[in-house]
Amino acid sequence: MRNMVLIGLAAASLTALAAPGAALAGDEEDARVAIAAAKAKLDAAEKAGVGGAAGDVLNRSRTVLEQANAKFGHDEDRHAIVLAHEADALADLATATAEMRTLESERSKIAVN
Amino acid sequence: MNKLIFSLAAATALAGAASPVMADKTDKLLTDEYREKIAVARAEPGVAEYGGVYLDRASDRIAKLDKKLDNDKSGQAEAVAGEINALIETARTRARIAMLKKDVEEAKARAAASTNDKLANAQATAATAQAEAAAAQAEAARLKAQMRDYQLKQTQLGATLVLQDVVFETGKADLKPGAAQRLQPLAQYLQANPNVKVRIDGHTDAQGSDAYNQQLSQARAQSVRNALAGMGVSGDRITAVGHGESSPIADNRNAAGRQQNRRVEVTLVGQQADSFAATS
Repeated sequence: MRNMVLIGLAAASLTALAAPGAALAGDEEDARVAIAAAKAKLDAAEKAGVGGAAGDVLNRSRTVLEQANAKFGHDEDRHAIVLAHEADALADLATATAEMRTLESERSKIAVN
Repeated sequence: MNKLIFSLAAATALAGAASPVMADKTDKLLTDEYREKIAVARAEPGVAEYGGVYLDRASDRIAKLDKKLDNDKSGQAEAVAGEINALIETARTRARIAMLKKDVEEAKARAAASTNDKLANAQATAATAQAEAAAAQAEAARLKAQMRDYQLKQTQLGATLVLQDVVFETGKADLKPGAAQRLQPLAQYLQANPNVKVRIDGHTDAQGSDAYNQQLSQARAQSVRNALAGMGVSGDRITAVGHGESSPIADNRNAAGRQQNRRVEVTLVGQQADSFAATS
């Protein structure tokens, strides 16, 4: 009976130690995925040649992604995740803004012609 | 657009300003503000339809914002707020894009229709011009064919036709009834060729006095001039000269010769007689 109690305590202790570790490992992976996703959107927007007001948003996205990477480097995974999500959303906004600019320009040209 | 730029600037600036602002507000007040912003955007035209996915994501992030505000030691809430702002503006931009696409397509359709109209008008104008040119050509050919009957001869002055005295009353300058009709093709030709000038030379035989013959030849030349003017040919283009009996072309000692000498010559100045021939 005493052995069983000892084994139980040992298991409980192990679980208590392992659980935060497992959670941390999950955060690290989530941060890695979030940063990669934001970077992919950022790269795509840069490749499309985003400029003007959209370029400003893209620069903001790039800066926030750098901050996310910095946090990730310092093992601040949860902070890295929210920054990566913000960078991701800003890259979306930059892409949409660039698309809108292109359409506005196209419409102006048609109107002139 | 100004609104969008302002919103973008506000979203961009939020990162720097968020923390103090947030510090002044309760978590509930702040999250309610974001819920309100999302609701306002969703009510704007097209935003729910074309940017709904972004607004949904923004709504999902409210809970996360609330959680981060509860225990925000490292400023993570401002990043979540920045993300929400960006998502809201992306939703608006997507709605704007959808409307612009529609505008562009409509503008393209209008431009294409306008181009088609212009093309159709140009084709119709060209067809009309072609038909008019063909009609003018046919008319010119018809007039030339009529002129052929005059049997024009080449002279130094130009292409000359001869009106024998049979078109005049005997001893008078008056044109016989029907003689004017004979001048009709000439008048039509002259109307169609306004640059062609005309010289009319009147001649008589040697019978009668020189003065009488001079007067008669002048009067007959003038009579032809008047007839052409009456048919719409400007008198300014016509010169009428009487020569009396001074320029015979046949023997005045016999009737046949005298008849040839009694004549009025009408010359189309500078024109080639062979241009009225059948082959031209």
